[in-house]
Amino acid sequence: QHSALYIFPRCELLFHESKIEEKNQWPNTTRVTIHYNCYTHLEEEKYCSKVVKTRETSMAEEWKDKVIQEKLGGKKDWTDEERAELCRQLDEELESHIDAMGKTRYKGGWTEENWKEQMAEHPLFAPYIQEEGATQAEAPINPLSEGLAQLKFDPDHNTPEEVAQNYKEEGVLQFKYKKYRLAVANFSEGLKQKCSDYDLNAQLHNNRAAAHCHLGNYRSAIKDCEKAVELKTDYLKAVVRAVDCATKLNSWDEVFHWCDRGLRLDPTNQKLKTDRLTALKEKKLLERNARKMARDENKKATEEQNLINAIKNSGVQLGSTVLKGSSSISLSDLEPCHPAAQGSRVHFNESGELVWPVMLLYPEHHETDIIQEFPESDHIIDHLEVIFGKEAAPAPWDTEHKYQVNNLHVFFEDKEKTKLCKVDPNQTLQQVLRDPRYHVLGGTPG
Amino acid sequence: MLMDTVNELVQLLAADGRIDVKSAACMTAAQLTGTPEGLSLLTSRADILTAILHLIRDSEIYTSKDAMRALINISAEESGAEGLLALKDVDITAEMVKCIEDTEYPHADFACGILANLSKPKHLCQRVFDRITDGPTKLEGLVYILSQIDYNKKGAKLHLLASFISNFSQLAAGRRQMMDKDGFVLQRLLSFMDYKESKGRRMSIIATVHNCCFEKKYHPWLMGEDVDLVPRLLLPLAGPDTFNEEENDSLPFDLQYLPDDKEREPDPEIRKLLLEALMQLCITRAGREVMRKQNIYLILREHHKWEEDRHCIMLNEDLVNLLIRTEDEIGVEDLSSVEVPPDMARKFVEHDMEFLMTGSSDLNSLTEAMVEELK
Repeated sequence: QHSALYIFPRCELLFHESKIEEKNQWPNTTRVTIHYNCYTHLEEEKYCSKVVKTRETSMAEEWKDKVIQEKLGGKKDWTDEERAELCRQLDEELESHIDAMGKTRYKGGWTEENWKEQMAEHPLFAPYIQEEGATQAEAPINPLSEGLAQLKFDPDHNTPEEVAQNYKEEGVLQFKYKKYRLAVANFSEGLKQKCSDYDLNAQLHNNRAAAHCHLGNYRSAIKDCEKAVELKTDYLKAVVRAVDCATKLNSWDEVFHWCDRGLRLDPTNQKLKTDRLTALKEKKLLERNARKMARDENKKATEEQNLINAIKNSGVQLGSTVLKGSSSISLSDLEPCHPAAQGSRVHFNESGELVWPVMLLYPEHHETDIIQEFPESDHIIDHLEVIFGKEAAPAPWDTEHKYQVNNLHVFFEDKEKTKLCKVDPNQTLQQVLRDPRYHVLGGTPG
Repeated sequence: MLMDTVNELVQLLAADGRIDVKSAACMTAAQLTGTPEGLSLLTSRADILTAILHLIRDSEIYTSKDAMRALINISAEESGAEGLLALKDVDITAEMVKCIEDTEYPHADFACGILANLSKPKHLCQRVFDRITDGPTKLEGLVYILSQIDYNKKGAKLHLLASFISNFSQLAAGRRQMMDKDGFVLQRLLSFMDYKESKGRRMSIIATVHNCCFEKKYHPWLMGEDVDLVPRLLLPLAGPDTFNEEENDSLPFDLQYLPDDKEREPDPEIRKLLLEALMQLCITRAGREVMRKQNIYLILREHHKWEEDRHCIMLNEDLVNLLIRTEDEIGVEDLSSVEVPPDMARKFVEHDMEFLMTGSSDLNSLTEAMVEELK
């Protein structure tokens, strides 16, 4: 029995046929009242739910009957196992039912516009973009990346070769992004696996060498190249890299060594030949410069020695301000202490005679003068003429203009500093210096 | 009777025999090579030679040493060398090369010596050279081994390998292989031109270079940047620096500011080779001009003051003669093309001998006479 069921979402007025009832309540008036059979909202609901319930119950009943009929052969009494089995079957049916439901579009996927950015950020595709210096442990890692990393590098899940290969690829990726320190770390990890693939290990060494190169660690790079060639004797790439590193280090002997090895592998290699030539030239230049420097130093030393010998032999006595009575004199003893005399140390002039810086002291006024170049053969009076002669202006402290050439007495202090000895101005400096009482202090006769 | 003894010896030399038997037999064989009769006896028997060859890698070191020693003596005689090279069952050159290549073989020096002996006679040299070139380790490989100090870990110095290589320079093909521009052979040898540790090696290398200088076509390459031979030839002839700054700067870098303890090459034979090589490079005009530009005259001048060996002095003067003159005076581009009439040649030789004996030089008049002749 099917009853037509109408479920109305809202309340609507229904017009039914109405009975007109006369109610004689009022004398002689006729009132017409229309009674409607209408449902109110709430009632509507009650009606609806009642109807649905009825339907459900009936449906459930129907269905149950149906199932029982179909699946269970009309069986009505159940054991627990049978129930469990029924549950399972029902689950399956539900699954297949869901599958049969139409597939809807997945929302939240990557769009045409944003797929590139999304991909770059997704841990599956993105490398560890970390700051230089941060270790892998410090940076916050996307758990997905971490999971992937563990999968890739876990020795339990992979053979050493696979792990090493993965580290190599990881390192190469870092290298491309110019993250050289991380690249080195990756290659090192790969090498730690000590896998048995020599070629792979050689590549790891070579790659690590390349990364070291970019970091400026040329020495480490060369060590890695050495290992690479040990593992793979015809590894020309590694040899060439070692040549370049050695060149950067200006280590020319090493450049030769590596060029020789490379040219054994490939005698026609022009680059290696050129590199070797360059190294040869540089080395020659270095050696020549070293020799030249050595020669110049020698020359200087000899000249100094000659000077000292000349002074010694001339009978001039030097007094050292530091040490009295030392027999060997060095050039530093001759270095003038007086600031104005700096830079005009005693030396030979073209005619081979000694030229001294001479200091004139004026005890009366506590003043000094320096004659920077006083050849030994000059007479003292000539220099005095220049300083105090008629053409020369009087010294600023000589207010009374007392210091005139013919008025001057020249003395020197004898070595024990006890007395002043008179000097004849007509003598040459040489004669004065050779006076046995005279001592040259600080290379400056005073 | 003798043949029986010899046959017995062959049996005793068998490689799979008892150790002491082998050792004694080998020693006997080695001792036989000490006498000319014994040597020719052994040479005549290919089976003995083969047997000895098989013992060179014997586990007993004295046996292998005696075997090598025997081979040295045999190869030193031309007939012996012929015999060894003629062996069909073993290729002696290949065996020796293997010994040299083996870093652990203790008697590698003997191997070098044997090869050097084999290649000394010119007609045999070509054969040895061909075999080496056909083999896996060619001349290039041997030179590479030579260029590594302490290649052999058992103490063999391989100096004689240099002698072997210098024997190849007798052959034009050998020289050309050494100077191949695409390869890298000659350049490796150059660094040993002042190798103080071994006169033998130094002499052989310089001899090789000297021979190579006879190939006129290669002069531009030899004197160019790639090889830069001229300063290397002069360095052993140069002494402590006596030049002023300007003169120094005009020289090649190798020769500038030489230290006070710089020693010249002590052996006059080697100095002779160096001077002869320089002479060869002067044959062409271009060569002379390069040498003048490098101002090597200065070095030669100082060397002349120091030199005492007459032959070397003569060579020095000849060289300076060519360099001092202008190209107009010389008048000839290529000196090797000058035909020297036989009687003039004789006179020159006589004159040289006289010079060598007495040290007097009347070269100028003779040269003028020659110039007159040629006009």
